[in-house]
Amino acid sequence: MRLDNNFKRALKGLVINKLVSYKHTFVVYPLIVLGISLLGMMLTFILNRMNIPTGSVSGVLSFGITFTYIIMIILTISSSTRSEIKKRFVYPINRKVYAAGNFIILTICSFMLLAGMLAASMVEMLAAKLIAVFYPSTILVDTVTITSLLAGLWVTFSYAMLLLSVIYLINMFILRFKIRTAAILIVFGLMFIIPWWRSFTFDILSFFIFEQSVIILSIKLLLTSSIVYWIGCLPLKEMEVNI
Amino acid sequence: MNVIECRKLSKQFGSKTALKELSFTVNDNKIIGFIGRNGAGKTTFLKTCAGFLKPTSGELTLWGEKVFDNLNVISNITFIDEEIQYEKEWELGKILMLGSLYYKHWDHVYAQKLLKHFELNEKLKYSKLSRGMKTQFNIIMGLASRSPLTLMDEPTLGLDAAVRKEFYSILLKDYAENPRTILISSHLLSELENLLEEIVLIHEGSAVLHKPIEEMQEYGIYLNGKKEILLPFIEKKEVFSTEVLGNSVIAGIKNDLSQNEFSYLKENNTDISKISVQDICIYLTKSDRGEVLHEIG
Repeated sequence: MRLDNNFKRALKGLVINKLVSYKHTFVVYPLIVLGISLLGMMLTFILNRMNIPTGSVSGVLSFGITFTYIIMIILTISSSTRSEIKKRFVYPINRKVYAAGNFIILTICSFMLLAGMLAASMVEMLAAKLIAVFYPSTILVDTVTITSLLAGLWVTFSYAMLLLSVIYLINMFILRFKIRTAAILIVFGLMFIIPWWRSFTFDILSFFIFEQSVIILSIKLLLTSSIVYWIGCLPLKEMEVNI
Repeated sequence: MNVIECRKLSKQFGSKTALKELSFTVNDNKIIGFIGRNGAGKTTFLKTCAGFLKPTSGELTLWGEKVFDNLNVISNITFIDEEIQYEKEWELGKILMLGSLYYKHWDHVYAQKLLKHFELNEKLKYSKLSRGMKTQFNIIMGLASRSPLTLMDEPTLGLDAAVRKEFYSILLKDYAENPRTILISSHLLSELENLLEEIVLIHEGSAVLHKPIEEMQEYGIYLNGKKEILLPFIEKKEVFSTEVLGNSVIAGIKNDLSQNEFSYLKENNTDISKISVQDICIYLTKSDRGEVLHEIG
């Protein structure tokens, strides 16, 4: 597909516009994650000084993933509100640019936050190893290798993209067809009492969860994310912008 | 070259008709006044032109292409109105930088100049601007984008008379240096008159007339004279208004008098004066609200 200059200009404008809008997130997030990492390090250090045998605290990975998911869910919901759409269409963009730009932003933000978390967890790991040198009684927990950390990052990122695409889809349909979407969601929810529907849902989840290969899993997740996101953009197609 | 071509354009919001078979054409490099009363459909038309709204029926093309979701067309349009909201927490300087990313004809030096002219600090946040300052900033965005089609919906709302005057002279100067098509909707027709080259008058979603401003200035005349002379005279004319004051009558009519008729009126001591463009527009879009006012009175 050949992109013309208007498309490139509009897309570049939108992506930079949104990235700058989210700059506070990129400042606050690393500070919080690093803070947790430092707090863990200090706690291990203090407990060791008090001769209390302790394990290295590894809060960054578990907290960071949860925190990243929460931030990204908030960004996804906020990017599919009427006021957000109105704000973006002040500039010369069309619906295709808006959809593509939004997807790029979700991808960049998720990846950057998770990469930030990865960096912080490495700092945490190094600090724990350093403390263990001085206080051999320290028990090192979560001693993951770089390879497993990178694989974990990639899988977490892929899962994040799927989750965010699903949230985007639901939000966009609620925005455009409020009552109908709510009714469909309630019907889907109630259908869980039907055994075959339950097993069908679990089969779908198993399709992802029980996949052993990281590469195949991420392909499955990212491909499904793209399809789900594309469906989520359908309500945009004919949507008027009431500025 | 035709910039805007509108053929039987209709726009419906539920049961409400905002535009009703609106048809007219606008050529390039002109300043056009888009005039009409409240609720006439001006904003709806401008938003349809900007690609925000989709026509219900009929056709609207800009440079021969349909507008809705067409980036080739949208890239050449700037729409400003008082409801437009830029990033609230952004500084003005940053929003201007964004303009240079989005608009291909953006003139950053000019934008900075205008910012200075209106005494707006580029470090000021958009959310901290007063209503008038927001209008000034929106005007800067509209002019500095240098889009081949600039749509301005009530661009001077919230501005005092002095700033409005400044805006008109800035617009005229910029237009002379960078000709493009500018469509302005406004209630302040008397102020805009010297700026406009053409007027499109719309009423209840349809075009009432579309004429060059010179023709509009000659469109109607007031006759002030004796009742027994004027009342029979205006019987076969298109009358906009009549006011009887004792033995005299002041009648506003369409200016399509022959030389003989002019001579007849002069012989009978009738004063003839032009009707202002604003009054013409008011007469041509008159509703039956006069009767309601009479009842209230």
